[in-house]
Amino acid sequence: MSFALTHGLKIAFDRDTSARQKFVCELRAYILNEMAATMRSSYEDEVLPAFERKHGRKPTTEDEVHDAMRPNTCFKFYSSIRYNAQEMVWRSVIPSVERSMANIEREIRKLSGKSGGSLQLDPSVQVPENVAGLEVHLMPGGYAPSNSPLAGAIYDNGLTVFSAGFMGRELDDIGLSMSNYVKQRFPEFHPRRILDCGTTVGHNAAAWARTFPDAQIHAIDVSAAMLTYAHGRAESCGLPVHFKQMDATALAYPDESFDIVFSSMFLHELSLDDIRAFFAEAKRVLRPGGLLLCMELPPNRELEPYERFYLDWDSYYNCEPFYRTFRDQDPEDLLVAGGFQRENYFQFVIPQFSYISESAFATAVQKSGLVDKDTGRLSTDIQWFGFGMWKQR
Amino acid sequence: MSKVADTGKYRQSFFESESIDQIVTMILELATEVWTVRERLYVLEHAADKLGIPLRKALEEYQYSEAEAAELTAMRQRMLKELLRTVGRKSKGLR
Repeated sequence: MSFALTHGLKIAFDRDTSARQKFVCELRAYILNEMAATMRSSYEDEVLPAFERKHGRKPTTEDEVHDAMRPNTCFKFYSSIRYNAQEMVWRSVIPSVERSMANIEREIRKLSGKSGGSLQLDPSVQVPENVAGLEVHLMPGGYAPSNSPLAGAIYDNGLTVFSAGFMGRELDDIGLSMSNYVKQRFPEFHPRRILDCGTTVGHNAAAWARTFPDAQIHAIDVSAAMLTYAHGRAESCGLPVHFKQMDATALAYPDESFDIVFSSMFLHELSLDDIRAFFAEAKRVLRPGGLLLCMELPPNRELEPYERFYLDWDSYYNCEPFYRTFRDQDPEDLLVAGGFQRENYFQFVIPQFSYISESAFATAVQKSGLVDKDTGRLSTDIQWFGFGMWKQR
Repeated sequence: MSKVADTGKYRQSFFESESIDQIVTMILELATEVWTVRERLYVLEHAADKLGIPLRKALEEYQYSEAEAAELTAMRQRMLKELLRTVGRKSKGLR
């Protein structure tokens, strides 16, 4: 699977750096497939029987599994190597990104406005502590260290190494899968204005623009660094996206001004209070008959204790403190508590749009799938989980 | 050197002794460097073959100039800095 970016802000990495990145990719793939399978076997063959002997039952929670696994040698090596690999992802791109920044900034200035998109930064936006105070995903410097597009470039290139091609040619497979799901599952629905929240480098906003070329695409984030880079990235692809610096919990858009409010891998980085505030805002800015659509990690209630423990790794060791809190929630209940109506909820699991035939995707869309061990995980059989809520007409 | 690559104050530790975590880092960095060189050599030898250059013989017989030797020393030092970068950094234990 190829993982080189092709958009106008791409960096030409030298041979040694490319070799290093490919090695890190292979290392991560080995950890997430082979080492994960070995750890699972070790759990079933040694840890689980020992737990059952001690307690007379199986573990019922992810915490019990975590506690039982902590002294396990497979868990220690899996975790230590995975943690290192996460650091190595960023380290494999940062020096080249730093050297390329003058070019990238020049390119962004040159491209700005060429494709009809826009960038609106708002210095009054307070970057919340969960973004400003953390190095989420262990990304050095965090997501909003300054207004320089450096953090955007590190994220874009790092995520490309991290995902090893599983997230699409331009990291846009989630956006492509979700937007094409909407297009094929609800053919009578014709969104005119679409909002992508927590857009980072705009990779998924770009996908919505490709799938619905007649719609106006807006994308927000609290990070000026991400948005500045995202603007140049989208313009270089000929996609007119309107980026604005804004907090999703306090949207500066009028009531009933969007047909779709979308987020991808966003909610699990928010506190529960912020998720509630975002849902309330989404409901406010949606037109009657509009759709709130979220691509996310599957909720814990859909998973066995071991799978929950496995997904919790990021919460504890990848600097994503709300990752688990989010998965402990029932998204349907959260939305209902936010004023949406239960009968308008739906959820689905779909394969990757980029890597299967059009007809296979169309068939999968009608089935809407079931959550399994590969849902939301970067493995060879990955599937995406999403849920949606229509706003009552 | 990078301005942002080492901004984190703490690293996570998974083993009883954080020294083991540091050794894991060293081994992984070393493995990455070994791979990078291996891939470069592979390309060199194959590219030379295609150009009709007897590279393997030339590699064995090559003598460094002073400037080249100094350059290689600097490269070795950079590699060691990467390899040993976690030694002495603070860690936090398991939850």
